[in-house]
Amino acid sequence: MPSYEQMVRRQRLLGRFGAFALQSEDLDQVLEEACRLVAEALGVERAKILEIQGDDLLVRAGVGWGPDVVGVVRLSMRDHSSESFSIAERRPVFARDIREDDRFDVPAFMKEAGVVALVNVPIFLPGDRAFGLLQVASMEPREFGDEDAECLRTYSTLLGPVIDRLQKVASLRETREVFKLIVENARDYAIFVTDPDGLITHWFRGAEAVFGWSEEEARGLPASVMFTPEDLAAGDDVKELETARTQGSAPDVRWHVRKGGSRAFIHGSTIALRGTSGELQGFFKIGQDVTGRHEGERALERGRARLQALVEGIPQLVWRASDDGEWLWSSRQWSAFTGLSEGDSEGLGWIEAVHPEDRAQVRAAWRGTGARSSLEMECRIRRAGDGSYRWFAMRASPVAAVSGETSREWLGTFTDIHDLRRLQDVQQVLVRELQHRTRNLLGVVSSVAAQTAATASSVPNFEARFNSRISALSRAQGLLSTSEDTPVSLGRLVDLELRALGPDILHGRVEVGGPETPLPAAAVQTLALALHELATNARKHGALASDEGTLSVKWAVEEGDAPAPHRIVRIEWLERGPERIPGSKPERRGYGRELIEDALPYALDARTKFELEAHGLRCLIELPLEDPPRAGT
Amino acid sequence: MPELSRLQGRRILFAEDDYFIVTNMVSYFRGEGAEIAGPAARLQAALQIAKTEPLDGAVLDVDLRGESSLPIAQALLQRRIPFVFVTGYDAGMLPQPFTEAPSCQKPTRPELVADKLLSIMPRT
Repeated sequence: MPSYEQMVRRQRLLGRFGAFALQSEDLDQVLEEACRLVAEALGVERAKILEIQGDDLLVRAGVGWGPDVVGVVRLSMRDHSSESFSIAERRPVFARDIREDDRFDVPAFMKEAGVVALVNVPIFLPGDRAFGLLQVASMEPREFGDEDAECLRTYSTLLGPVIDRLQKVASLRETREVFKLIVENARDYAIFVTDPDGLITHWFRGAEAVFGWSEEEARGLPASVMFTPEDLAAGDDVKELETARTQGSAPDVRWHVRKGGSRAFIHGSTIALRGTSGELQGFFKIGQDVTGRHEGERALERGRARLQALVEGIPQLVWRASDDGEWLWSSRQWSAFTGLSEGDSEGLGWIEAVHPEDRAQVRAAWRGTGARSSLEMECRIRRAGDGSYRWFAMRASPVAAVSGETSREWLGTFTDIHDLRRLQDVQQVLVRELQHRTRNLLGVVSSVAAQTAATASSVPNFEARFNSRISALSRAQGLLSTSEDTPVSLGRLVDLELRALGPDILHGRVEVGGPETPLPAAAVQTLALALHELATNARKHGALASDEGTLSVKWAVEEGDAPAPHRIVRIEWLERGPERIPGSKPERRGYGRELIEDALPYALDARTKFELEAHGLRCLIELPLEDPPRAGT
Repeated sequence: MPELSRLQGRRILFAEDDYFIVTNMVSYFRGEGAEIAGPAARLQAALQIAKTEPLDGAVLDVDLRGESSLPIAQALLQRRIPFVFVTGYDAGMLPQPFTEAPSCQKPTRPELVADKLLSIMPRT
């Protein structure tokens, strides 16, 4: 039985342990202190605490034991030791002298240390989980009494919750360390914590790297400083916290403002932090700076949109094809023009729109494209609107293969060249026609020269008359050159030929009048020459040769009396002058009269009269304005 | 005695729509003793002569106021009457089957046309 002083001492030691255990956060210190106080209280040399670790018992702490034992020695729970027995039986085990006790195998290190007597008290954690045991040992045989056992049990009972608390603290600390390591090393992630009002309370290095504010600068700032003015105006900062508060978290994917005003695109979320009783403690925000990726995606998107706009905006029909000409894709223009949907056109379906006569050529062009770097040909394609075929130029070039792809892809277009081809044809016809007209004109010139020469009295006489006829031809050609758009009018032709006589001659003596009358192009040249001869004669020998004479040129359009309905223009050329001296009437039939009486009827089917009278000349020309019906029609 | 009238007594048809050219031709051919059939400026009139009148030869403009003189050539061919084309187009542009037919390109001189026509007419 311990004495009263011993009891008081034990109480005092227990009190010290209690105070120590409450203060300390270090499990090893607490266990070692427990061993020390127990040994002192019971007056033994050695005490130790063993911890169950799987199938082993580790000497976790001890007093009187050397560093080769504490933290090193392990006993197997399968051995028939007093320690494993005590844990298995969940009760204290006493041994007065282990040398005489055959209930247990005594571990070698204990024998070597000279242990004779011992007590084992199991330690239980809350929930009745065995932690290990507290053991005191004496080098002398000793009978441990109930008071000693009670003292040990008190310690073991105290140790249970203390160990449990410290284990939890250690585990929590470990968790916190891990959290800290993650948070502080996640440089690519901006992580920070705010209070329930959104004021920053914790600001980690990743946040500093992304947003620019240091921890000191950031702490206390509202998280809304990172919102763009547009988002603030829309109240997005408030909405985000509200969503996180009610839903637990809120997505935070938006442009953020950095220190200094530049922007970063953040992909992240805001999470509400709640205490154990559910009260809101703040918000945890984590996000990744994806500005580069976001910009890249936007640039790619813009590029794609531009390409799309280009492909759909150009008049060409665009498509993609394999090496064999099998279509993989076609643009909307293709479908709009041919009426074949993209699906219809896939593979070789598009050939359906090619003119049957051109299909073999198109197929041949696609055969053996392997070595070629481009493909060009022309073919006709059916227009869905009216079923007509139009000429298109097909052009395709292979797209450079992306690494890893074995087959090439072709990008091709159809360009409408129908009008171009038609214009080329028209141009060819026009050139041929121009050549024809030029040669004909030269034929006319050479004939006029021959006929002028036949009646010329001298070379100067020839030159004067020939030049004036060539000028008339030239004026007629000038009018004809613009006649593609507007036909030559009779008024214009008469005006030109009269003016060619000279500016003074016409003044006050010439009357010209008639409706606007477009002439057939084929009539212009011959009529011009005839009018030219009339005008020249009037000036040389007729009404305009003297001061008293007058000239009137009038015309009207009438229905002709030819078998087919057609219109004629009736032109009356009337010269009035002083009475001609009888006998001065030219004996020789002049060229002007020949043209009126022969050329116009011959070339233009005109009916004419040429009447020289005492007081002047009356010339009548009835010229058809349309060609008569043709042979065989 | 020089051969002044090399076309003496030959009856030649002229189909040509241009007055000045045909006048020049006709004037020369008359001078060479030829008798003139026509001249005709229109297909229908020329064709009528080519089919019905006695002829020894013909000078044909390829284009008569926009109409081809081909039917005249065919009619003459059937009657084995020699003819020469006068054309403002390239010689190679003559229509089938007359691509190889004798032709003169405008502008030409009447004596060249007469030479060509004489070269294919049987001598008398």
